[in-house]
Amino acid sequence: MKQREIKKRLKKYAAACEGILPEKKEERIQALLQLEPKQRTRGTLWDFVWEQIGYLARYCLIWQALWAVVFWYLMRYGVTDLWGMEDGNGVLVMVSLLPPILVLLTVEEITKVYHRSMLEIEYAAKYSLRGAVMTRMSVLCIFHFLIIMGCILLLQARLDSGICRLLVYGFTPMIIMTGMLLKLMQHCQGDALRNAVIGIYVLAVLFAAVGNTRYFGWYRPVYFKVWCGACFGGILFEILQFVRLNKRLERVEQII
Amino acid sequence: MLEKIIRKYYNAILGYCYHSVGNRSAAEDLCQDTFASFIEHYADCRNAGNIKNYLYTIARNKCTDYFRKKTPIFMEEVPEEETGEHMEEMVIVRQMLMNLPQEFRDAVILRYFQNLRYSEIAAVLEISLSLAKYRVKKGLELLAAMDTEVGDETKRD
Repeated sequence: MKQREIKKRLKKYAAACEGILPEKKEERIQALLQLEPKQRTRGTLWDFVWEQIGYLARYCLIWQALWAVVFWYLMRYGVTDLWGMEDGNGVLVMVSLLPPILVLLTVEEITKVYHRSMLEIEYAAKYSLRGAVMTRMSVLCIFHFLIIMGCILLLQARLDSGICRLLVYGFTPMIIMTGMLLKLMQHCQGDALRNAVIGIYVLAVLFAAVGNTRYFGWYRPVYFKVWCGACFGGILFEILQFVRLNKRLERVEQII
Repeated sequence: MLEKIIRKYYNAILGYCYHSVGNRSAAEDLCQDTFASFIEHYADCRNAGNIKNYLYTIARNKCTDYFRKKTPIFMEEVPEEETGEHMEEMVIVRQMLMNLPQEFRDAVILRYFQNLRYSEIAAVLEISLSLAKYRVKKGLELLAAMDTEVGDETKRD
């Protein structure tokens, strides 16, 4: 009761103080504008990209390295039975489920990068918001692609099986998940974005688990063409969402 | 862009400094220093948070420095347009506010004068969300206790 009264009095006092304007405000602002901000040379396109790589925290690289180790360990020792048996799709299930974990591990960095207000200062100081977000996202995607590609190539050499098959199973869920991430980025940011991505990954795991049962058997060779179709559709979806996100950021820039 | 930022947040930062130090001319100087520091360093910021919170953080540090350097003279002013009984009320509120320990005063000012959300207060004061809520609540409790004391003293007089 007493506190409610105090709140009222504070608000009343705040309202009374609102009229306080600085003396010679305009002069003071002009004096501030005369101060020379630290000069930043924009440099070349390569400098810009290099700087954006620098923004991605070191822990991102550590996660990626750790992921590669886990991937390789699971492929070598964790999953022994290969295709040929009805329920021997362990490698394929793992190949399709491990790459999206990379998105999951680095989503923290993406949400941090994509916090519009976080970038407000950087944008004001240096580059465009859109340029920074899209470049950082692209850099992260390229890193992920290279790591997954390397791991799959090594796996293929060891298993002596079709590279196409491994690539399709390996990249399809990752592509769809990245597309979903790009779609979500148009609607939410920060913690909400991270939680939504975690939710999507849990769904993907459930789908893979259900799909690998005898009842569905999505990993059977007969469904390979469906996987190819899903992969192609996923790529189109991802490109579309990338373009949309780019346009959305362009609008945000105008608002800022 | 820089001019836009300064114009957008100038009054808010000045208001914060004014409520923190209770002296208009000192507040104006602190506000000026805040923006000067911002201009000097903003190009080097990386994931520093949004501009508003960042400016409040600089302003808070400037106010802390101000209190360290000199003993502030409170009660110097109340809004000019206030008169009579109303003015007395304003003086009491200001006095109570200035008697709050700084960590609680900052939280109360940011919440009730600057209308920041708890998450923003937490970011400005560089504390957790729960601690920000606690400080605002505790600040109100202390103010309520002070108000009771003031009331008792008035009755005695």
